[in-house]
Amino acid sequence: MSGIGMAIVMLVLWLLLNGYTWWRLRSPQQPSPGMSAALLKERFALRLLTLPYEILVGLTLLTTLSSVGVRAMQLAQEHGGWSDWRQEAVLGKLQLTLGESGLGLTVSVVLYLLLRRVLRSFILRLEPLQLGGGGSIIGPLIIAYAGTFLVAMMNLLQFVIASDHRGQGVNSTAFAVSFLFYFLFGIVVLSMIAVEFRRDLSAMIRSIRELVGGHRERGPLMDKIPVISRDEAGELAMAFNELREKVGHEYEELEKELKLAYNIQQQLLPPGDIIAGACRIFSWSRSEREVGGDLCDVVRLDETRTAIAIGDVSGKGMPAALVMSAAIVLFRSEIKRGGSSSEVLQRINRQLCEALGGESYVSLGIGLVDTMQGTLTYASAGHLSPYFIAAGERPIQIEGSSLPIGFDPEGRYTDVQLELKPGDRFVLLTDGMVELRDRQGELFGFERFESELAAWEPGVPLAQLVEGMLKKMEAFASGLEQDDRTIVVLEMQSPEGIAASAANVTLAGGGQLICQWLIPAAHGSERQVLQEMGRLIGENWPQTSRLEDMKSAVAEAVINAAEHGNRLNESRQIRVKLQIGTHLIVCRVYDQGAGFDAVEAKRRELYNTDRSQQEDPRGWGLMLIDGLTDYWETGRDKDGFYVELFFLRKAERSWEKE
Amino acid sequence: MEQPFSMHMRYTEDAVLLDLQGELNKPAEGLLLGSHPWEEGLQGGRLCLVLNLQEINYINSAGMALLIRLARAGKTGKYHTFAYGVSEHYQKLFRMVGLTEYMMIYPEEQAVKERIAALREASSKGDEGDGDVRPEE
Repeated sequence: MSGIGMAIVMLVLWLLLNGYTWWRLRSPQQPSPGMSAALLKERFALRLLTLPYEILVGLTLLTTLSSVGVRAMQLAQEHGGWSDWRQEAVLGKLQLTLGESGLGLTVSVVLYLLLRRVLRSFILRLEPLQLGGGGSIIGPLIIAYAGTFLVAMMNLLQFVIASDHRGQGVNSTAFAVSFLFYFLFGIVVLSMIAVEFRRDLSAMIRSIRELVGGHRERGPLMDKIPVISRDEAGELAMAFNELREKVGHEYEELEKELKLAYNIQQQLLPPGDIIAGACRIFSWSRSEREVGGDLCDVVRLDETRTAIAIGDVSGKGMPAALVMSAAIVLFRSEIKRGGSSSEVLQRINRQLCEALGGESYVSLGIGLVDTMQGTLTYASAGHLSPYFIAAGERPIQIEGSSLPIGFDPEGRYTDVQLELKPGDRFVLLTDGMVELRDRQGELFGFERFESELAAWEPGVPLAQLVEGMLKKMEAFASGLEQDDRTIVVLEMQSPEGIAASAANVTLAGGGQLICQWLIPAAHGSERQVLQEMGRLIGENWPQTSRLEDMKSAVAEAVINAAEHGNRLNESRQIRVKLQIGTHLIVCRVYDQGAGFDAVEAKRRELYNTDRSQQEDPRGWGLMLIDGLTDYWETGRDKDGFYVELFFLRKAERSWEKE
Repeated sequence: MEQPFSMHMRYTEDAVLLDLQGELNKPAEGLLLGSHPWEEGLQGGRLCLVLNLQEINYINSAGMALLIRLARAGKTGKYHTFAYGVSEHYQKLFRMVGLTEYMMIYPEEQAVKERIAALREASSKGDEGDGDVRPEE
């Protein structure tokens, strides 16, 4: 066969190789309906993964078969028949075939390795998560080993035949060099396979370390590592992904539960700014984890007495949060049973000692404010000393020492009584407020805290003062994670301040602000309610954009009650009850009339637009109420017939987005 | 603090301007509707009534009913009613009760005056102009 013939054979081989590669690497067909993108990716990745094997086998077979075929044909052409053949000629062709097949196998093995390496980056880009098992690292190792062994054997055999053919004997130096070359070739090939395998394992070790370390870059432990082989490393990656998914789901469940616990805990805390008779109480609490162990509460006992509590449960997380909830519930029930602050502490201590079993403890401070007497009685169970700031004076720490709750069921506590005058402030805090640390590890400390308190101006709203101090603390801590922090500030109001909050304001058990007004059934009497209501809602829902809507809706309900319910008889009063929660505002307007059915009113006459044609076009009150509230209804209880208006904070957020 | 209703009347060549102040509710009825026989037309045969609501700090449904009655009187009294200085909240309420069917709302006095001037110009050219005095959306 001539050189041209060989060139044609090589060209055909080259075309076959390229054609096959193109066919295997072409874009995936239009996926069948129901085939997910992930499945399509996995199929394509599998195709890329098997391509090096296919090329190796295909190329080896083609080169060997074409070499054998070509040399056999040459032998047949050179000799007339089988009887005419000479051993030398056969050995000569065998030598050539061995050389060509050996070369073909060498190229196949090198291509196999290079393709594995090149295609790896494309497989990684596809990020397949399943490639099916069944493979083993032994497969590539055997292929590489057998390939290199065969190459070495074929070439060395060719070397021996050639030497024998020439009749010069084996050149031992050349033989040794050839042997060394193929030995090194084999080492390199096997090392490349081993290095790839090691790299896959290293990637997985990194991922497992991330999992252990709790790193979450793309979500709650849902990052997966791509499966890029069908061997043990691939199976390990799949098993790891399954584990990671399972842990991720469990983590998500845990997060949901913690969120629920957080919401419950937040509901237990009082609203930020509370007016309780002649005193105003502002509280702020933040836990660094989803749930915390700090507690604070405000309970209005009667018209003149209000109780406040602050505490800190040892430990963190869910156990501390559970104890915190139990402590708040106990405080709410025990404070209503009466007694001084110290007596209430003793009762709570006895009950909690049993429950805690010495495994946890709670520091708790309880203050009882009597606005009629102008006194505050405070007792502490191992809680951080509070500060008393007489109007215009420097803060004084109210000392008191006793064991926290949970140590000794027979523990005794001492009451401290303070006289409160208008403008006086009483500040309760948890240790997180002073144990804040900056990046150098320095404590915020009592000194800084006290100087902040000393700088508080009289007459400035408590919310503003606390917010200012918290901002400074945030700047000090530079975003570092800190302990749970809680602060409660009580201020006796000046006579002007008390007049401004003339509404009868109480706190419900759930910590909601309840205000009540009794106004005459006369035109214009709703204005006083609207003014005070506007102030209270503004303080409790400062971000609201629906205040005017609320005021208009309440005004219409009051006007209806005055005109139709009480028939403008000023001796018959209208009761307005406003309840401000964290997510809902409810307003009830009572009258002494026969009432009406909200459902019937909504159905029949609400949107009667013909009213504008009437001589005195009235009756839009209910229509406005319906348009301005999220929901309204009517009812009757011991106070009479009422119209009840509901305003949701959730609905408000959706309005704001629009 | 309660701010009783009060009003002040001004005149231009084409319009009567009412500067309203305080709270627009039922007690305002006597003063607002009793100050002039609105159904007999505006003073001097003027064609436009302009309500300045900038100083009105509270309107309830009774107040809105008064505005409707005042604007509706324009049908028999042959005048158009305009208003300016209405907050977004009250504009929303006006739309809810259908008051905007009777009264055109503008952001300020100058805008009302420009609209009235355009109306007069259209009338002087023989155009009736009755149907198209609404504010541009």
